[in-house]
Amino acid sequence: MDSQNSPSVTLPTGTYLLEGTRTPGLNNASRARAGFSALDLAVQSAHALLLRSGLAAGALDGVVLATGASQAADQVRQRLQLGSLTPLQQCSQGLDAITRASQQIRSGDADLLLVIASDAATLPDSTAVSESAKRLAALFEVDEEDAEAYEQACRQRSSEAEQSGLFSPYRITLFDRHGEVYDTDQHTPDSGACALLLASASGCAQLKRHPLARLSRQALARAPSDYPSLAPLLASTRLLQAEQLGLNDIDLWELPDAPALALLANLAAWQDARFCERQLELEHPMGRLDPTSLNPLGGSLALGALPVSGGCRQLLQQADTLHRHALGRALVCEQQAADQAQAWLLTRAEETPA
Amino acid sequence: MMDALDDLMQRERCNGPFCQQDLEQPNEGPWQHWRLRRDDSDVAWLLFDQQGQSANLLGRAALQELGDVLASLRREMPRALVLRSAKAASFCLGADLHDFAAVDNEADAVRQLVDAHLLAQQLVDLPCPTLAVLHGETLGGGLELALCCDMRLATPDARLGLPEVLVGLHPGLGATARLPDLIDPLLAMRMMLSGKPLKAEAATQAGLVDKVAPEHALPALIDDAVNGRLTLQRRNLRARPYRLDWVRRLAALGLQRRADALVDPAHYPAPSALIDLWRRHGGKPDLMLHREIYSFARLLASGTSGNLIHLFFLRQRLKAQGAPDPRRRANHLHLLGASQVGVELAALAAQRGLRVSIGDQQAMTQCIRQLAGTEDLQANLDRLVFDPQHHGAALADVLIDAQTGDLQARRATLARLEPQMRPQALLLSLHDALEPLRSALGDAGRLLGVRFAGPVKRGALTELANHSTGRTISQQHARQLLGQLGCLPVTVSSQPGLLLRRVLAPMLLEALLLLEEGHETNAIDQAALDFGFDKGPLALLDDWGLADSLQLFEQLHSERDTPPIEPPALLRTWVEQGRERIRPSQPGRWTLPGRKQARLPAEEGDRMLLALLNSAVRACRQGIVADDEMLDAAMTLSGHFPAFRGGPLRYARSCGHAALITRLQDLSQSQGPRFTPDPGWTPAEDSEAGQG
Repeated sequence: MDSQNSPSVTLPTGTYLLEGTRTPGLNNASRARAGFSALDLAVQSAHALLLRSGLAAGALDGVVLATGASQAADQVRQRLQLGSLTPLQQCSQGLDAITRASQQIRSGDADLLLVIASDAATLPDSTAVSESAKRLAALFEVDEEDAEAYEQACRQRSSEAEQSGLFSPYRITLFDRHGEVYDTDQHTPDSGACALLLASASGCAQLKRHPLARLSRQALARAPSDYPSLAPLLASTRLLQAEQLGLNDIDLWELPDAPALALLANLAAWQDARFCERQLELEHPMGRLDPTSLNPLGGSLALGALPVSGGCRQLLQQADTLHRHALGRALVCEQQAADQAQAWLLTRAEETPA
Repeated sequence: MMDALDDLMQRERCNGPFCQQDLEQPNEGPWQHWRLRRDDSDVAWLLFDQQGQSANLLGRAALQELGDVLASLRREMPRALVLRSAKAASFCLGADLHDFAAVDNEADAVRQLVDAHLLAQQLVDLPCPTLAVLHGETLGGGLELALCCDMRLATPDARLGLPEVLVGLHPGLGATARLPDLIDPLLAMRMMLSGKPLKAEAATQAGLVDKVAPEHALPALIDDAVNGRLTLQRRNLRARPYRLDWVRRLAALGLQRRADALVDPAHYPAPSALIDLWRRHGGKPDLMLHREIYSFARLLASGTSGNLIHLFFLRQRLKAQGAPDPRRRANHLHLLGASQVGVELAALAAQRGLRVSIGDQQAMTQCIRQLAGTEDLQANLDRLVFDPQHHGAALADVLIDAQTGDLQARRATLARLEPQMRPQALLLSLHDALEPLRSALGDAGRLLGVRFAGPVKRGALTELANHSTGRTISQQHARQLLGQLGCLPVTVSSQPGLLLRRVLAPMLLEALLLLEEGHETNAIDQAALDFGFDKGPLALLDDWGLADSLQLFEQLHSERDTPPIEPPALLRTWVEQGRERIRPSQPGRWTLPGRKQARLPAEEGDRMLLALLNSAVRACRQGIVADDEMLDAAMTLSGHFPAFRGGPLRYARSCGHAALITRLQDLSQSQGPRFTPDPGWTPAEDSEAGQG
């Protein structure tokens, strides 16, 4: 993006998100027809990202791969043409990969890292979460109509975002072996990949690009097994407490909303004084979240509730929105496994004059 | 760093008593091209190490020295002999073709071959066990030496072949007798008739090689072999039936039919000579060895072999011109536009290991389809990146302009993207006209034109067109890039029709005039096919397209230096009618039986040929191409002139310039000024007259 090229300022130390690409969300039928594996999607998004950033694979200090496929490391190394010395790590969740990459950058071990997260026909096991959501919804007086109204609004926002072209800068075109083209997000996707380029401040200076956002802090939380749908709430609360921020200090929120009932129940819980006092040990209830700042592009209805790569895809879009509107903070939370969630705080990349 | 392990692997190579350092020293032994040393258990290790070359060729000097080596071995017989090559990448690439080119007459050839055969027989007759260890390319005479040994081992990268047929010969150091004796005779014949090499694995299955093992496993295997612990399969039951004459005769019919389908035996006598040799004498190896010498000498003295050997050297010269510089390898190619040739070129680049970014979605789809069925498909596909925003233009080492359509739009796109290119990057345009593009570019010195004579694939001949403000260094880089892609570049100046079409145009024009005079389409084309052309002139016109051909004829007609030839009215009418081809694209399914093919009178056929020769001389004089050898190379290697005749100018020299000039003058009086002999003909070439 043109607004990213400003070579003469320095950034404070930290981890920065420079650039990213994502594949369209593919549903099962399309993916089967095309014959894409998780690695195919990962490799295509990575190649497109490297080209856009003007990098050869050899210029990377490392790659972190998040995928369900086992023994993917060797294949990815060969297909991306990484040298034999470039470290390649593998884990099973997208935001975990971001965490590992961020640790390496902050410790000074790396300046430019590629994070790739890929899903192919992975369906999250959502029964426990749905059950817990229903019970909490009943408790906090959230009903089905609210959930439906929320979903309706999401659909609206998602199609507006698509029409205003907010997805197209990062969405690549996929080609299968027969030359068929896949370039639109499909309904109920179960496959997709996302590639992100993370850099230290010197990495950004090296590429002479201004980053989209800074990755400030992450928080991990595990919910009690009786109420697994509380996990995103716990992770976000922990993150806010660590940064000593309130709900209104965050300009953009991305919380998991599949099912919508879980999200609405969590929002209602934050407003419930007794819950906040007894369970979260807070003096005052967290308060009401401004609905216009929540899932502004349509949440998982727009980008798909993909278990491995969903978080990274949301991270990329939120970072773009942050950059585009010059906002201050964004929080992206991903539900991992049944009862665990991870949240990341994005802040605007502030330059200090050189 | 660790990706190229060549040096480590080279040091690990098992050369018996020789270590790597010994081989890096100059040869201090009594012979220049061979190194001989005995190891602790009195096994003699003989390394073929041709002085000053990176690959071994079995030339006359090396053979003579081998005779001395064998004599010294006989004086003091070792326990066993191991034969290897000291060269890194190959065992032996065959005989030295320069020796063949120097042979004057058949008797001389026979004498040299007899000497070589005696030498080979000495190797066969050595009482101690002999073992050949093969790696890399093991071709022709080198393989024949290995066949003289008792046992053969190979590394997995070995490729064994007998490519003599590709230069109009057949094996001449005993393979015609020894190979069918060792392996399935039909497989042996197919190997020798096709010239294609076998990989190590396939060679082991056939029985040509006894065992395949990686380098580090060889010492143990060699030890087993010299001590007689290796189990050898020598029964070759499949050869038994072919000892009978009538079985061979029957098999020979099948082989001959397949060979005739590939090449005309009247023009390329080598396959028939080989099949004949085997059919007659296959049952008696000693007699076959003897007759092989005479058959080989006869082929060597024929014009075909001489011309094909000459072409071999021309191809080497072209390859050398395109030799890539290891420091300047191209890594990234960006494709702009979607023309068919552009897509094929992008696919070739991906197969050769370059990263390819493609701007047009249609081109991307077609490139993916083009790669279907290639070896290593996944890796090739991974090298393609779809790049609608042309980020690749700023990263590429070469930008290919494959745009079609409106000139203004093409210029605008180039004007926008060219400034983003890296300073050393090249801009290669696949479009015919370079001059209109020049002014749209900031740095026109890096613009060159590229035209492929046939389908874009490895070994394809490419015309590389320079324009008025081109840089020499860019030309050199372009040649290296094309060499890296596996093509053969010929530099030509950027005139209408470049080189090949310009030279061919008068011949095609003559064919059209003959058509206008009432001769039949098939008769005209057949006359060319009889001479040895791959395609008739009218078929070629269909390939070029009538409209494009008319445009080319008009451009040539209006040039000052060329005799005026008005394109025939027939062609103009057809183009105005919108007709694209002379013949319909689907040939009629029904042909009347018993209808005799009309033949063109010899006079008329000669007109086409003389028009071509005149045009070739003119192109050379005008300096379109560097020299007449380059012209011959371009015309034959692109398939536009029969290879066995060596090339238009070489053929002209063999006919004798004086005779041709006379014929041209006669024709110019009876047919028109287009046959005026070009000032480039030199009648002083009389000494060569009558050799055709």
